[in-house]
Amino acid sequence: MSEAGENPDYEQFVRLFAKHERGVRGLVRSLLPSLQDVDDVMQDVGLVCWRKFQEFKTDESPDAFFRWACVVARFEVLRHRRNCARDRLILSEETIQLLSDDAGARSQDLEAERLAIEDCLEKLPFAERRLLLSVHTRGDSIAQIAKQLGQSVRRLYSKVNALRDILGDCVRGRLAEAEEQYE
Amino acid sequence: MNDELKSLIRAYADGTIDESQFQKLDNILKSDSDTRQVYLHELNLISALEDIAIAEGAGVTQPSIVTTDQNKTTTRFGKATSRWQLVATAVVLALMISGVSWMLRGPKTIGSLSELHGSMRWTGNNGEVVRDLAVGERLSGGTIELLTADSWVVFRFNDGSTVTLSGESELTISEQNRKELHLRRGSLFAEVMPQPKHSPMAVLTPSANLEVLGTQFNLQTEEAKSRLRVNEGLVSLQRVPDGEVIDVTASHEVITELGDTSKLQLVPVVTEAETWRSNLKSDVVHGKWIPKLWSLGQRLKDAVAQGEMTETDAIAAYKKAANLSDEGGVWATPSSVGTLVVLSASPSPGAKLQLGPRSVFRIRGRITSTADLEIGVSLVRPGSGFAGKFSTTLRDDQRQGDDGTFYIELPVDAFRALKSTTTFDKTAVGLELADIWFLVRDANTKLEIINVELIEAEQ
Repeated sequence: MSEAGENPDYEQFVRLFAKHERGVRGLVRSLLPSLQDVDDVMQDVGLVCWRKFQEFKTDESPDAFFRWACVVARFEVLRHRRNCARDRLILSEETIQLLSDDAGARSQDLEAERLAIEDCLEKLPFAERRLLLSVHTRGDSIAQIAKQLGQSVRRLYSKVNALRDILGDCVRGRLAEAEEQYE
Repeated sequence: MNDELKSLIRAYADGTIDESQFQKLDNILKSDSDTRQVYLHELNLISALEDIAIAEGAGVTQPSIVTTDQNKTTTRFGKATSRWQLVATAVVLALMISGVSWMLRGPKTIGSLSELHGSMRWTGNNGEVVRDLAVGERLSGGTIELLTADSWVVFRFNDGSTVTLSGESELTISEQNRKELHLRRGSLFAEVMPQPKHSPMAVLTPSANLEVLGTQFNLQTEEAKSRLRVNEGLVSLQRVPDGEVIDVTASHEVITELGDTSKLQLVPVVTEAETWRSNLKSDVVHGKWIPKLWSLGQRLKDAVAQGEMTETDAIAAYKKAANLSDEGGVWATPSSVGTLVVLSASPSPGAKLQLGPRSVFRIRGRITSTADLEIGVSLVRPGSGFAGKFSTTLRDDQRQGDDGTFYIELPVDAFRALKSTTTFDKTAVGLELADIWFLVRDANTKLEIINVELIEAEQ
């Protein structure tokens, strides 16, 4: 593939990649144990997708690119795993294959879940929302935040998990409501 | 959702899972498609939270694109994103794609700097030297050197383990098959997240090798001596010369010294002292201990000149007397910002030296100019890690004494925190003294510290 700026497919690629990047990233995150792993793999996924873009054959379905990019992402995750698995706890190759297949099959559900998560997060009280987001901020471990707040790690971890439960229940409720309306 | 399954999934996503839990999770996911659905649901929630946290942390609405038309793009938040944002995304992708991605990416990073203060330099594994380090800077392996007594830096590994380096020190950080730290000199405070059993964190010093699975510990290292205090968990320590191994459990400390062949002693950390008098000869970290033997030296010189003894005998006699005498002072030696003395606050092994509201430092010394004298202290939280640095500056007219000698009484509240952050403490009261330093920023000034004491003022 030639330089990006000279390629007529370039605009189409950027549009598709930008549209589905979050979904692909979500899949990669579900297969790897840390955000840093995800960042490393996503850089390679973007690069490989562009290099192989001429091989992409659309079937006109709205998620054709997403499914194709997920296959690329799965191979990149497996490659990353081979480099890191000796010193890291990363899911086995078989489990990664199975999860990738399952995630690809329910991409629409995962996107609907994401929208519900955003709505439900907005309903949390400000302080709890901020706490929940702070422990999911890159590099801020629960242990570090517990130290800053002068709380024990165990106690803070319990609180964060309770908030995750509240959010999860809310999301399930939202999705059930949406399903009823659809029916 | 089954509570145990939920805990396993979250521990994996949070990077806190241990090996047996991990094997269990992997096996369940392999064998049960319902579990995989639960897993994907939970990870989607965590991934969404991470995306939102990143977007809000950056102060912008992340352009997570859902649909596009000719002129604008609608985000999941229902806000309009201009074409310029799309163009910006395109530019980033173009950079990645057109062969310069390696420049953006560089070697894979193993962590970032989350706090820093003072003068320091980083030498990366590629040999590049960086002096203008900043909070948030992501780094691959390399060596960090702190150049001044008032410096500190907090390095956070990707798994959340943190390593704080304080005062003049040098540390090499790497993470290949395991985390590895080489502390050549200085003070290190580590809070280590649980590590895989087959690849514990390794900490190497000139006199001891440590293996760490997950714990909080403090380590001071000089050329031939290391002092390890474990506050939480367990650290396995191996003495370098003879390979003797000792497991150091919580609230214990051990000292290793090159040349010491006696059995390693595990000392419980229990005693809380509020008063202390420095043993200058053994406490000096930066500076030169000079014993008070000038007159003996002169007499021996005369005896050699008059043929009463040989030069060899005179040197031997001088050395013997010097070793037996604890009287003398520590002379400041050059540092990167002036002339400096650093003393480790080491009461007896196992003792914690805690500052109270009535603590007062008594300091005697000599100085050959009217330059300002900066006095600083490094402090740790009782039973925990680095708490920050505090200092005060005394002008010539604030020092009592004649002919260059001075006598200072400094209450603990005379010291001010060097940097105000949410991480570190704002008052020295209640904290433990780790070291004290004396700095004159004029390299031509001679400074001698003769006595340092911590006392409790009468009410």
